[in-house]
Amino acid sequence: MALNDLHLMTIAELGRLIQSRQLSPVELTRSLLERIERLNPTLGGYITVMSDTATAEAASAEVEVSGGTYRGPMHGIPVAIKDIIYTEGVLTSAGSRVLADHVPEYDSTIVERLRASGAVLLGKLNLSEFAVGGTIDHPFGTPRNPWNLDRSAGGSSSGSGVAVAGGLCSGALGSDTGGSIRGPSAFCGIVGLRPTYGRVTRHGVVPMSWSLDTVGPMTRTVEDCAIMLQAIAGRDERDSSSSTEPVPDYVEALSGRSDPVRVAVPSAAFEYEGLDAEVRSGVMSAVDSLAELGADIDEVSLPVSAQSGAVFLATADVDAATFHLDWLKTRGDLYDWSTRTRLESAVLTPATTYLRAQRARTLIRNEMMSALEDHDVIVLPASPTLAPSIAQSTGSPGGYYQGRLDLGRRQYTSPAALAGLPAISVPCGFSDSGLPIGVQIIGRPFAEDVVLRVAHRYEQATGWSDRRAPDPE
Amino acid sequence: MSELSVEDVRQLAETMGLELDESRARTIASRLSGILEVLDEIPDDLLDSVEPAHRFEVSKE
Repeated sequence: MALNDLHLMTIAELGRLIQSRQLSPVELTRSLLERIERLNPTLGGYITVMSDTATAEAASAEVEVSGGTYRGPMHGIPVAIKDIIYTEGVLTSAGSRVLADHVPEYDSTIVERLRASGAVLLGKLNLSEFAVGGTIDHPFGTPRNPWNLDRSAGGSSSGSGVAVAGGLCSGALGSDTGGSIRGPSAFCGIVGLRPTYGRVTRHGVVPMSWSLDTVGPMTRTVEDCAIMLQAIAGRDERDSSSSTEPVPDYVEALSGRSDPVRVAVPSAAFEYEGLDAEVRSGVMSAVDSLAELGADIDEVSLPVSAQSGAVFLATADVDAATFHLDWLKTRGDLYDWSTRTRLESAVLTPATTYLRAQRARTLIRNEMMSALEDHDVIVLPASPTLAPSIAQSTGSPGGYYQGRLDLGRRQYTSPAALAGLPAISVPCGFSDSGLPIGVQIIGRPFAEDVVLRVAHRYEQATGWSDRRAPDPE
Repeated sequence: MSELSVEDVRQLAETMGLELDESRARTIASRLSGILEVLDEIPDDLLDSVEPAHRFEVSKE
């Protein structure tokens, strides 16, 4: 593949070339920095580009590999991270004017782990303000969907979706509180994994909700997702919520046992009025493909999960409000209108409502776990809609909020989040207008290996992840 | 409680030390009422089956 095609390649492919010294990490990094300089003004993926340190890290990787020290498949791979992840001496804005001058004095554990894996850090990626979603006015530029520049890249890990789909990095990290990895991954036609709660440390990550936040990879393929997860997963003494559960070999798991997979399909979710017809068709085709691959498909009922959107907002937003309350009182005018209004709503949520939501959360977790007793995975759309127009998604007060419709649409990503389960979004087709569609595969706690294996087999059989977005003209 | 009026929201905001303009107060009232309405649709008998706190089971030999 020619040097000007490096942005199209996967981490696995690039890693093999670097290991065999057919590709220089410096050349790879330079080619991506050139693309960022040329395309980021249009795509709006990056907030901060770390050209100098990235070039130095790539040079260091090249010296190491040339000297016979190869750290693994992330060595020399240029990646980028959502701008809520702390980087020592580098702006970490959380996409907000409130933190427009915030320069951390230390690296997050995740950044330490990426660097230990030999990855090259290209920069910090755009997002919905404070990872809340629905931002009207992005202070660092509007992220644009590479498949159609007039369309939203989703939220809140918007820049991560843009940068991977637009070929501005080889892989990215996003965060997912209630769908912020899976939604942008579906809209941008890439793979995104929300890990089990506690699988990946959050030390040095600006919080939204302490009981729901996760950090995970967003990549071009499932294999790349496994490679990136391997680099960041595992217990961190600096994060009490991180788990001591052993970390398996996720890449090896992709080619693991081939027992028939038992798939649960929550049939009522496919009848919801807010589910786009092309999305429904694409995801049902994915279910058919899984059946053709030998999976046993069962319809299941998850009745309380239909209300999970309200449960999620009454939980995550109240968590977030406790973090933001002082700033809302003293620096409220610096917030985006939509973020401010949503957080103020949370501040004013009655305690009785919060308690009702916590009880409902337990019911949702119970019904998800019950479905997973007899099944390996649950399959749902990763987003109920195609990527909306930017004007539609950000042009009105309240952003995405459209009353009950908004709450209903959250029923696809909220259940896995509320239950703390791993969930991946994988491309499963395109609309007639050329917009990507994503299927979501949810697994048991810490069964990322199973989720990745099912997604990998589906991806290999269908090839939807092979498509690349065109460069903007 | 399944509905919050704009006046309810204003009073709560004042108590919390938040200054709301008319547009945000209306949006918040609508948003919170929507969430309350959906949560109220979850049957009480189901919610009542959830223990409010963790219960230890101690086995006695």
